[in-house]
Amino acid sequence: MNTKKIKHSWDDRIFDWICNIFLFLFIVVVFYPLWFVLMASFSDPVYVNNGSILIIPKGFTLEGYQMVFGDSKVWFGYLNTIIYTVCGTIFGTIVTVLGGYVLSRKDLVGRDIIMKLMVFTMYFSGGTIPLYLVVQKLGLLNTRTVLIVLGSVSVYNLIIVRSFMASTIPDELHDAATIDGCGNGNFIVRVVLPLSKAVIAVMVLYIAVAHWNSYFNALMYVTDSNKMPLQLYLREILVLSSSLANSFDVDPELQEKMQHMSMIIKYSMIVVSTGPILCVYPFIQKYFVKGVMIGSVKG
Amino acid sequence: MSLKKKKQLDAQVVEARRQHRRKSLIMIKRNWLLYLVLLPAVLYIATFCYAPMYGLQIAFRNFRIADGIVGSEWAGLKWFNRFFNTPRFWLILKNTLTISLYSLAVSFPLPIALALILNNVRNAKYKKFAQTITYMPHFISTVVLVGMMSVFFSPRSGVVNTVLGLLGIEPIYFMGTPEYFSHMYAWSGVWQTMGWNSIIYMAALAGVDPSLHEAAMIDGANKIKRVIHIDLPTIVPTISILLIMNFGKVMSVGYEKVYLMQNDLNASTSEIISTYVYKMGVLNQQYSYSTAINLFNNVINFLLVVTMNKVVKKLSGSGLW
Amino acid sequence: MKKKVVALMLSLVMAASAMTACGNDVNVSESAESKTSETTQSEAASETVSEPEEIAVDHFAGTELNIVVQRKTNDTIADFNDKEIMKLVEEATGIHVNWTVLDPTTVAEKLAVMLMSDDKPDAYLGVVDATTLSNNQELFYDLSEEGLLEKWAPNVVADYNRVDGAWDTITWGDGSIRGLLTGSLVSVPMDWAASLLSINQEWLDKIGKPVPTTADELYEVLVAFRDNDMDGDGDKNNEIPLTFCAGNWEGDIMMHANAFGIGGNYTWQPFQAYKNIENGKVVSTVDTNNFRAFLEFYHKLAEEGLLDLEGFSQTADQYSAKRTEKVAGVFTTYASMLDQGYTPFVYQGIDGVEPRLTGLVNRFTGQRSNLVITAESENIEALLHWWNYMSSTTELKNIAFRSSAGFEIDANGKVWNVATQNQEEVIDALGNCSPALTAEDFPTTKEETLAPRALVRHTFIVENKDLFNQEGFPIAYNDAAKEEERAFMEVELFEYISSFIADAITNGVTDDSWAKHLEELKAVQYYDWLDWYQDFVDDVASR
Repeated sequence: MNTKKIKHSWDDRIFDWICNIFLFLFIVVVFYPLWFVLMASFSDPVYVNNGSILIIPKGFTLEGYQMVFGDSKVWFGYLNTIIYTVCGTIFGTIVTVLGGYVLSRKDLVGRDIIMKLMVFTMYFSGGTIPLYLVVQKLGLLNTRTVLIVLGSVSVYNLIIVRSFMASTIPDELHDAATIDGCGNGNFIVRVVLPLSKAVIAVMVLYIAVAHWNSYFNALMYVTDSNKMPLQLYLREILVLSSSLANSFDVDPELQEKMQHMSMIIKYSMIVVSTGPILCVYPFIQKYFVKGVMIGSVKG
Repeated sequence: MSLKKKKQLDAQVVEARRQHRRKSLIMIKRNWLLYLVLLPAVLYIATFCYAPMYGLQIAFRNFRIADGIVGSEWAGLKWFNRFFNTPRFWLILKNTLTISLYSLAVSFPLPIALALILNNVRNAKYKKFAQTITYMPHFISTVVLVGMMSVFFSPRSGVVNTVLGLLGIEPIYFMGTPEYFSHMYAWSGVWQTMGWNSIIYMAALAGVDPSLHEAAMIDGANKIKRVIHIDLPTIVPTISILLIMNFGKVMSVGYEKVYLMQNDLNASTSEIISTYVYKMGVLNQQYSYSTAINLFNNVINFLLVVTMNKVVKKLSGSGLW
Repeated sequence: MKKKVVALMLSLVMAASAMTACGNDVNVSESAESKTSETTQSEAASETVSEPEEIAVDHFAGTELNIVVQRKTNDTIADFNDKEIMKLVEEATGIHVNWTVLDPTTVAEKLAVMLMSDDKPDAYLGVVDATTLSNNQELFYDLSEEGLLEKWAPNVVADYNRVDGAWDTITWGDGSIRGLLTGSLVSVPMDWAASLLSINQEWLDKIGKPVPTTADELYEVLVAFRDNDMDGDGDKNNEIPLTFCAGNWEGDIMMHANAFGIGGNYTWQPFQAYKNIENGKVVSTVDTNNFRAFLEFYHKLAEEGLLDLEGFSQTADQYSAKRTEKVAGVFTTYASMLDQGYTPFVYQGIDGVEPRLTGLVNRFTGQRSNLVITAESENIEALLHWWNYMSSTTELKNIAFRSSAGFEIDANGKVWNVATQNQEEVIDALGNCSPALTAEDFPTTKEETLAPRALVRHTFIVENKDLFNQEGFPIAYNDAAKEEERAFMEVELFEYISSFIADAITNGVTDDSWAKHLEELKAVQYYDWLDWYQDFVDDVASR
């Protein structure tokens, strides 16, 4: 008994070591480029691009940040993005989690056909032009609503929620609740949602990040510059300055200036635009703690 | 006799069906709330996915803006034939499959491994730190990612070749060697998505009942065994679902990163369907042609998903439907 | 052709910056300071509008026009009605414009959906590209209607009559006219030049050699650059004798083929050098011995470590960093570094073959489809009138083009460009969306106001005027089906040629590989492509 225990802890220790080494190496590999981005955002672009920045910034400058923050559009964009992200995430999470749960119920008549129809849309879509026409018919062009609603619900997320719920909320639980006289509504509120914190957290993260990063819908459906999200504006700076640097119809001075701007702004833009969304993750993480759902399953 | 029996059987079938229908109706009535709750998702998909679906027909038409989607003249399979007959059709198909299957092979299992490892880290702070760091690359835009690759892998001044130089290895022109293209593409993808993709598994692992681990420990199972017999089975449904859905992307490798990584030296391995569509369809405004190619891709994707769904369902018990 | 993701038709002529207008008389007059007053403006207006049936300026007062416009890249003025020119025009004509402003990055995506939706604006300004126009002609109003332009836009008609070729460029094969010209430079005699080869003068001085004029001399200089510690940092190995950048038009390797007598007409698309035109005949370039000599010479440079092979993959940023850092001996550039120790130069690659410069002399330019009117528009006359008013005087046209801060008119009526260090003044204007400027309207650049690097470039171009192409491909509309045919040929063709160039420079050319290349050219329809252009040239000539 005793020897067996020691042997086991040896196994475990080796296993831990392998895990830790692997993890450490991976963190280094991932961390370095991220560190590079941060350093590059404070450096003269010439040094960024000739490979002479290794660990610390070279040719220290805040020009990139000044350019990004000096623009009132960035602040507006921030505000808009936060609005779209918060509203879109609330809307999207509610629809997805509830929808996903319903689709996980085996006693739902017509479940298979609904699933098939949904999966179909993951592969076949009419393209941007008819979608634009639909949005136009609904009177949603140039509104904030379209940016909140579009992209909030995805079949991919529905399927993830569904498969989660199917494996974490056993049928017996529902049967037992039904016998106790608990209706569907009560069951969802009292049992399903508390048991699904982890997957709800994942959905919040997925939908929030998708909203935060999205620019295409704004690009298509909104012309009013007051409604532009941050990402669209940043993309514009990036695409424009690089395509201008590549184009010919400007005078050399302007061209040079834009090229310089595109080089310097790239890295500071990433830092500025991802800062806030990175802070969301730690809040999400605490729902991934093991055993979130103990007791309830057995109860 | 046999006729009578048959009639009897028929009657039974009809009765069974009727009962089934009645039961279904009862179930629908009883679960009305579920339908109500599902309604927003269904409405969303009906409005934003099915309503515009008629746009698919431009793959079979000579689409002109002036004629509209429904008004453009029919072209039959003209665009499909054109695509199949492009001189490099087989080459770009091969490149697409190489890049996408290779990426799938490396970037699908690694997040699972990462999640299992993270799940076993005991120090809570270290675990959180590791999780946060590894998920960050997801936020680096493709343009910047490729720009950084070009800097890091520069044969002249890149940090990678500097390190290789210290080891006595001659500089390698990573970005300009056709053979390296798929490696560069796939592994930079791993770098960017591994942490992000592990999140879903982390969440699934939260569902593991700790008492199972306790019981196993008492039985003398070591960590590896517990990972294999307790943790892994918990996330198998998630793995199955994601594997099926990933197979549905095999033909549609995103154009942006490949396009940015393309250059005159690696064109023989880097031209894929989506970059071709981009050049042909977007830059030359060939809407019908690009729709047709995308349709072709997605039919294959869809078939792959249907097949994979069957296979995986048989193996693991969970599928998309 | 990679990464130059500008979805423009090759035939869409882009306007060059003012400083390239070196064909103009560049005598500098001291009296250029005086600016025309309001009275001169109205005088000039009444002078030009001298048609028999005069239409009052405010004939359409109260009309509202809906116009979709493309914002200039560096334009920060959100409302177009805040622009100087728009205030002037609205005040005079009483026509109010409701603008829908599109950002340049989103124009391509939005245009298609806008054109398909039901509520259409009256006009698009600077939005519709030639391909879209050619595919969907009937969506736009045919302005060739008898007397329409003469009646409602006499100033525009007068301007086009003064410019040789103006009508031809906007008229379709069937005689219809779907768009009006806009832009900076209508038939201003000007030269187009792409990147210039430039060499590090400090390094040259250090090794005591003159600017190379032949391939052999260049070779020697590059060897010296390679073998010496040119930048004096103690490391002999970190100098790059010659660099280029396939990912950036400025640095494309085809610019280096100039020395071997191959130079394109258009400047920023390297594939334009895959063909040329001589006396109305389209000629091939990439199957010639000169082209082979170019590849062989560059392969030799590559083999001996004189050519920066990273050029095939490096980003524009890396290329730019190498220039700024001054670790490169020779590179091609539009103008950067030309005032900082780099000298533009030309060398002769092959004895007896005159080098070329990429670009064209005395080219008709101007943007063809920039003002198009929706076929259903109910305000066609008002719109033409509004446009006509903006075209009525040199001063108004220039205010529209570059705002009153960007130009001056002297006592003799000559227009001078006073925008110097950058184009920020021009933000308050329409830029290339302004009514077309003729040679008389177009501001002449003052040399002393040119930025130093622009001046170096300008001087070099004037001195080497003869090396540019004298003959260009016609600018005219072509049948949509024909355009499609060409588009389908080009993707494969250009991809093949650019990979061949990369391969040949990296691995060399042998007789076998050259023979294979000639075969391959046939397979990728190179000759069909040349024929296509020949047909186009002949077709336009016969119109």
